[in-house]
Amino acid sequence: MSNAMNGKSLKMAEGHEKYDLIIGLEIHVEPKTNSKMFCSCSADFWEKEPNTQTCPVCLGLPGALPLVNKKAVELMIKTGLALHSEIRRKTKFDRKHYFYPDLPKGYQLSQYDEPICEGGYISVSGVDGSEKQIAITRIHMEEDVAKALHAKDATGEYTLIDYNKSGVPLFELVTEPVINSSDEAWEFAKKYQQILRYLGVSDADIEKGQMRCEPNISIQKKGTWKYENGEIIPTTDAPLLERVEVKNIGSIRFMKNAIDYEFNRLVELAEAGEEIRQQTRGWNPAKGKTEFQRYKETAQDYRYFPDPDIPPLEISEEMIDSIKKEVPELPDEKIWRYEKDFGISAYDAGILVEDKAKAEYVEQIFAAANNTTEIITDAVKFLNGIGASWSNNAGKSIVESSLQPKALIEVITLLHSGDITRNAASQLVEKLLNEGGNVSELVEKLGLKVLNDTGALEKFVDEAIAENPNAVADYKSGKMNAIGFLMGQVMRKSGGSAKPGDVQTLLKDKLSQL
Amino acid sequence: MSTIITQDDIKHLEKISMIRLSDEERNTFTPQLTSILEYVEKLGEVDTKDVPETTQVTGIVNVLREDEVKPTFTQEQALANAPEQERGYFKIRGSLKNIAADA
Repeated sequence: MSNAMNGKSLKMAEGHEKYDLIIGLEIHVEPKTNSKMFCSCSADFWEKEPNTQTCPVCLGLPGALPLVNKKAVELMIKTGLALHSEIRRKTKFDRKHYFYPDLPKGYQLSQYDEPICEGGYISVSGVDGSEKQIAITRIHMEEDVAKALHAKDATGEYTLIDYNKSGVPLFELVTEPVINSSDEAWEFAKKYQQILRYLGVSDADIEKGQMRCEPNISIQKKGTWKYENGEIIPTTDAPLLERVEVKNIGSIRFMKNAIDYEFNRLVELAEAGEEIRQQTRGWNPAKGKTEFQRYKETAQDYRYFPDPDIPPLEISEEMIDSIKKEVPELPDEKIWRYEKDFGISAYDAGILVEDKAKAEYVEQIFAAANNTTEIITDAVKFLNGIGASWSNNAGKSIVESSLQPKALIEVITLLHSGDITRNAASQLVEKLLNEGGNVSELVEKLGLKVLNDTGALEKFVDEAIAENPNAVADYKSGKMNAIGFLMGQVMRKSGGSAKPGDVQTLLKDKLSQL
Repeated sequence: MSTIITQDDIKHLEKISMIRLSDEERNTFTPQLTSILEYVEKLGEVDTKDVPETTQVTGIVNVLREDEVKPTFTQEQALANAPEQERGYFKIRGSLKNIAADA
């Protein structure tokens, strides 16, 4: 570690002794629908010719009538159910007003006081390693805005607008300000992304703008504040320090970096006695720092009111029940079950369930093993050992390998019955990952079957002794290590099919007779 | 119960409407807006104590649409009324970069 890094982390540690870090997250996600939120234009705007997917509704033309996308509502309910939220039985859409050219109607259709999902949580690892539930305030539905490109030419500055993205469904999740480290924020966002993918709600591809994370960050001197009824309130006469919002963050990793950067910046300001003003900042990944965008001096005045064109929604128990059935077993539940049923460590289980395709593959392996713990224990060793290094080298998921779930179990069954050695099993798994194939044929072809023929083994031992007089002499003169070398020779002759224990016994026996 | 529009209110309205008024215009609009609001305030005289808040009058609920893509405007149609355009985009003059609202 460089000196600069040392200095930085030292400063951070000192900062954390004196100040608490308080973070609330706002995460926008585009759910996977075919059409937009309130019209039938395609929602797939990525790399499309500009302004080729618009209509009177998403261009905000007079008299256009919005119609709610049923699928988008169902996907939000599914998300809420997975995150332990309350699903409102009565919900409505509101107009949120502001003027900007990426919003052609002059208002954004959103939800003000009756969001579809209220409450809920995602569990992360807290500072001391124990489980910490990060409370979700709400998830509401809104529409995305158009894409604006800012440019400059000889005549001055101008903006180009593409309305293909205008009106694409958007979920806004807001957490309570109960996140206290950049690690917690990182894990929350990662897990939300993972759950959305498990649910098939969204690909949550940040590079494509399908997921956008915006942390609200403040620092407060320890002992000067408390969290009560969803708010951070002062416990001394001194006013609280203002918060900073960071936008335009291109990845979850960058969000963590931005939070760390802001923490240090805010501590420095506070320590220097300088005023912290409420503001919006952007993340500059090239410079690795946040940059000032604007102050937030007055409270926003969005003049929300219920949209008179969209009748309210009444969500039935029936609808919720049928969506509930579509919520699959989620990563945390799988990890918990694997731990309980098969004694798999949470760490190992976490790797097994990192994405849905892999988790399904693992389930097939477990099924092929008839849920037998001994076989599954070995399967996990192979998956997270040889399997993981194969994935790293190939740059692919193990799901894309040629290893069939049943084949892995066949290998382990042979290993347990003593028909092949562990070394041979590893060779087989490696081979199967790359090329696949029939396990018993491969065992035959590669000569991996354990040598149960005592005559053949005896021949190899005799040969090894005859060919290596020096090693034999060493052994006889008391250098017991020499037997290792001789064992290696015998194993090589057997093509790895001899059982090391058998070889050692026979070698010792023969050598003692010399 | 009278509503007085102040110069500060006008400035706030300018800000959220993204327009700029001259002092002369402010002086014109301030009393105008005041009298409009006073007129609307007549509604305040109605006793609404037992009337529930109403935002919908049809009683219709759950107007939902299946998630199907239907043909939409061509680029040419979309841009038909654009005062200015460039490479298929609507083109807007002036610097807007730093005034984005916090949507």
